[in-house]
Amino acid sequence: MKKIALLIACFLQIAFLIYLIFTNQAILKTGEQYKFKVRPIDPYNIFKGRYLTLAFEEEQANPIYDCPKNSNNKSFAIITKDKNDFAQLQKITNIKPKENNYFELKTNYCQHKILGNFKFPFNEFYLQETMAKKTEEDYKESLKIKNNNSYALVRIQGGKAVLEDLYINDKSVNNNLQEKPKI
Amino acid sequence: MKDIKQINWLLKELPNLVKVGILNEDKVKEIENHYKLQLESHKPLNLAFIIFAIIGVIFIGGGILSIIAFNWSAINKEFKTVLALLPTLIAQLIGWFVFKKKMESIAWRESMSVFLFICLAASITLIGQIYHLASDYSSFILSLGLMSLPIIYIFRSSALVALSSGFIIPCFSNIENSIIFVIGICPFLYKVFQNKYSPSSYFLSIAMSVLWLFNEMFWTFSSCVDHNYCEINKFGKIINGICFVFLFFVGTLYFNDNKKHPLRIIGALGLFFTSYLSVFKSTQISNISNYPAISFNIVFLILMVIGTIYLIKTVSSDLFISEWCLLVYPIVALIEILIIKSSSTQSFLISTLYNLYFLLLAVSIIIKGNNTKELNIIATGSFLITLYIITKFISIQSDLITKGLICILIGACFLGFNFYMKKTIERGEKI
Repeated sequence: MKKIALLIACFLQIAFLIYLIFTNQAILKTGEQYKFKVRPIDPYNIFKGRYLTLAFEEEQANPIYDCPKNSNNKSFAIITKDKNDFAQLQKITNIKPKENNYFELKTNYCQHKILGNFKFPFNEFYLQETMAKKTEEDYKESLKIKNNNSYALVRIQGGKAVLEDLYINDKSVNNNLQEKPKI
Repeated sequence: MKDIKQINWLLKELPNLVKVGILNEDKVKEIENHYKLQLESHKPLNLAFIIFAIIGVIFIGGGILSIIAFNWSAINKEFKTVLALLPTLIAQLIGWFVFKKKMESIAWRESMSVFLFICLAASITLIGQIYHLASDYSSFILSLGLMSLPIIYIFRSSALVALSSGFIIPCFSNIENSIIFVIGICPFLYKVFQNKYSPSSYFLSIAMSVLWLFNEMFWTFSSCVDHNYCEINKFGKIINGICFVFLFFVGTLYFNDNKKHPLRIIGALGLFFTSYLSVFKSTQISNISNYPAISFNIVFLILMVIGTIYLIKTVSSDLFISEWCLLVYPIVALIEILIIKSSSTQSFLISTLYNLYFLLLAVSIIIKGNNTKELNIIATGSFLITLYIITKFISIQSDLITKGLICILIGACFLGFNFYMKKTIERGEKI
């Protein structure tokens, strides 16, 4: 009996991990691409080492917000694209949208339709430790360039968002800041 | 200890005595039963082996993680995904081996369960890094706890209950978020605590309180590790210190029956934690004049000091050096209030004083453990020294591969020391 229980437990653990991999892989393959204007910061954490925390321009927006009635702070951000494929935050709501152009996020507090600060759920970018500082410095350098184009490429599907890559002035961080390949 | 060596020798000799016809099988069984009871009485020593085994696997697991994390960017995504599953698969294979061959050994069961927990955490973290998933600590730890539930029951692992509940429950201010996990561990806790004086219930209650305390402290004082300074009120240090000393001596005098001494343990643990936090540089300049509700605190402090002096006077003849060391903490905290104004030299001096105090405390505990031949006490002292080394090590900025190698080295030392202790005890010698 215990032997079967152990086998089932091991199977469930592996199944959970495979589920995590497949859901994210599926979003990366078939999800719709959005660009989010970004500002990367290189923090240091004793457990995570060096990585990049991303702050987004759209997080500063003041969207229309329906305050949730219950204590559950899960909300949905509805977004659209401009002509250059950059995402624009339209609305944050606690009612699950019927369209596919939304992602889940957690909000802190809400009173009289005024929303407290919120963060997008794809605000951490992991890369080689030595690259984190360099990427931040590259970003600072890129600010000196006119029409600097630094953004995070995010795939969105069924309310889930997965960060695909980060571009510092059109150079991919995944490809060690090489030029963006022409599609 | 010599008795154990002789008993072990005698038990090994018994089959020979049967062979030559001096003893018959029935007599041999009687002798075995008689002497095995004496060996059983030394079972609390197992706790030290279990603790060392658990600490060892934690270090080795952490070290492997750091090394993998360092080489992460050199590996392609598909291979990374396979690698992410590998820690869990390896831990499960070891788990299967323990299930088949070593289920009677508590040290194996407990350390394996903790190892599986860490490997599972490692796999989830690695997948999170591959897909750049922002860490949601509460849901991460909850899913980890839920997946550990079957392991807790199959391997009857008190360490895993303590570890998972110690991290999960303080994480949620609202209990409804972790209710499935809490309900899940209740039958296990009920079974263990049916006998409140058993070694398992003793171990579980201590481990859970330590981890809860650690988790609370970790979030409150995370700045200590990240920035190497703490915001602790100096006056609060004296109040806390004297309270813990008071608890310790009340426990020594009035609640010290049958080798169970909860107040002594709470007092000692409290002092370990407060003195550990004092090892960091403190930046606050809170002084007595701006401390809230100061009049009450002063009265309380005076009462506690009088009570503590009375207790110490009563038990002073039986005190070990480590117990005198515990007493010194409030005095060091008082020196800090009296001498520190703002000078950086004075800050350095007091910081050095706290560091020396913490090391002295740890060494005195090891000496006491050696004199009384109690491995649990030696383990406590060694743990404090390890904690100190890790703290200093984390605050040094070095790359992950160095950290990983040092982690593995410390873990291997623990396992080696564990092995050495076991062999020494089996031979019946003094450590």
